[in-house]
Amino acid sequence: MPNHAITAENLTYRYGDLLAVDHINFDVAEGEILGFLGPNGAGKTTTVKMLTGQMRPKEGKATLLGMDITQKTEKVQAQIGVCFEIANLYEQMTGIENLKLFAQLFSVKNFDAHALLDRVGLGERGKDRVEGYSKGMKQRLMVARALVNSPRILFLDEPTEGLDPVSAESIRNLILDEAKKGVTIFLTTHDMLEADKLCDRVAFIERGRIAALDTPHNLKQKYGKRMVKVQVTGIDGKLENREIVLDTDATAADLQKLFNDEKVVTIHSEEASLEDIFIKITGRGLA
Amino acid sequence: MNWQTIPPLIQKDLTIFFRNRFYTLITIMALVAYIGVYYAMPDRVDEIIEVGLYAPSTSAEAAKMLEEDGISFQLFESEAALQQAIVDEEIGSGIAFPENLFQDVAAGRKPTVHIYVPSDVDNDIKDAMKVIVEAMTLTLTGRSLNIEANEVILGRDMAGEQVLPRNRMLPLLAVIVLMFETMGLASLLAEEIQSGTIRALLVSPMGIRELFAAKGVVSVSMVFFQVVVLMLVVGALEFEPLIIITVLFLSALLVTGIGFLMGAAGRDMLSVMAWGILAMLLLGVPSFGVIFPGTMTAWAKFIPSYYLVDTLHQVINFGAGWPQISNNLLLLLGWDVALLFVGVAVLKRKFA
Repeated sequence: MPNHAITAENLTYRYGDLLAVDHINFDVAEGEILGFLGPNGAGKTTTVKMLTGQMRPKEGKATLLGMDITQKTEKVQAQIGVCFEIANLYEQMTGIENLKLFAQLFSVKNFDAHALLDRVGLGERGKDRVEGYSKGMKQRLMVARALVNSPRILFLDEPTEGLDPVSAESIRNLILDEAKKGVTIFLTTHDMLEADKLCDRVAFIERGRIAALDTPHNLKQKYGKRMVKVQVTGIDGKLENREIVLDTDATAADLQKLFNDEKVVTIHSEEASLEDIFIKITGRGLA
Repeated sequence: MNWQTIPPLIQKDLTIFFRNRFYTLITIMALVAYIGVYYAMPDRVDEIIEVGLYAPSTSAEAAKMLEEDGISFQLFESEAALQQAIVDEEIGSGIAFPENLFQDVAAGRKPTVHIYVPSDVDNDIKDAMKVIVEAMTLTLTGRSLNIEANEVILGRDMAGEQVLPRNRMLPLLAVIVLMFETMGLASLLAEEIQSGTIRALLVSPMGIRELFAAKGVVSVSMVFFQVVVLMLVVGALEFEPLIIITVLFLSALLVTGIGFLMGAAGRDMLSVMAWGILAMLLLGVPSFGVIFPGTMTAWAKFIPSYYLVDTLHQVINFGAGWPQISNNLLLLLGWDVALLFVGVAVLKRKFA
């Protein structure tokens, strides 16, 4: 049985009468990347706030690295890194100064800001004030700041939201590098493709409850269906779409019939996406 | 308490404060301006009232002999010249005697003496002028008033050593310096809340107590330093320096509590400034009682800055010592504790 880096037991939070997080239970193994997916207002951020000690659960408890976050808040916080969705850097300070400040707060000895900035591709801009950085650069600096204390658990909230493809890819690579080192990663994202690419498991959260939690592969197996999508030329010469579900007894016959009876223009196989599965499970999209 | 997290936070706040050109400029310019205002105020109390005089039936020498303690006459060649001098604000008021003063008096007629005052002069001055005219007329006509005036001084007689206008202004300048600097620091706090950097700090091993400790140290030291510089430059530390330093330190704590409240209430620099000016006006009220003696009302004692203002006034202007101002200091300390407690509580709610 793997060691659990994060365990949530009946974790609950209410804003007045609104139940934002409703008795959720899950655990994350050490070195695992867990994707936490859900639409705005589903309870993702509230859950992260409780896990990182920013908010006290109204009920239940969260254990990180074997310690109750409400009891050992500062000890837990010393071993986690948090990257927020919205850039919250000291804009009047340089990249190096931002990192050094947090290294001092975490009491990191022999901290090498340049090496960390190099890792996120900001080695050349470390002495510039953050106010002059682009959105992508700020996001990379946020990730670097979350790594200042070499955390054992990394919380990333929409780390690639609104970034150009190059910046997004560099952050994804960094996440995978950290996971390879054994860092547990709690990734909150809207981007289902990103979650599919990066996460060992994903949790779908909807209205404060976890609607599904499994590996992307298992979710697709369980809720999705593979199919081929075919474009054919109709009687009037216009293109028409056909769909044939794979993995059924009739699949071979259906395909044979299609090729015999119709003029096939294009054909390609398709797997259900996580987004399709999310909609299927929750009845709504991620917007 | 994680003490080692406090120095980097202090360093961070100071760095951000002084990298903001506006705050830096305001800090330096304001201090220079307040010192300038202090020195621009009169450094002596003018106890002599200068009155314009047109007295055609009297020689200049005789008219000069009418001058009494506290009254000096400036003679004019014509009534029109006297009127013009008052209109031009060259002189505050004037008296014009008629040409046939002595003949009218001798004939038992009632001569008309004109008193000229500007339109905005208050009734007290007008009454005083009438008294002067009556006294002069009686003197000129050889009769004396059949009364004996007996002057009674309530409190210490400060004739000849009245409080200098600039020293009356000093408590107000101290309140402004304290509040102005606090507004800058409260703006930084509001920006930190709004930009979310505070959240990043609070997920580090640094707790909320360390955050308040660091913010408090920065705020108290910045405002304290500024107001001490002001007092030093204007020479106020020559009077009971330990008392002055103590009251300024307690006042720096006071405005830090207010700064926490402003930081929690404001969203950005503008909204903090709006709250700050409101607070500054309120805190400035007791100092107007020093500038305009007799205007202080009892409710001013419910304004925390009263105890700063009164202490400075008593020590600098009346030479008060510890026995006279110890109550003020204790009450100021009480306000400090109350406002810091409320400020921290409100900010904590804001962070939650």
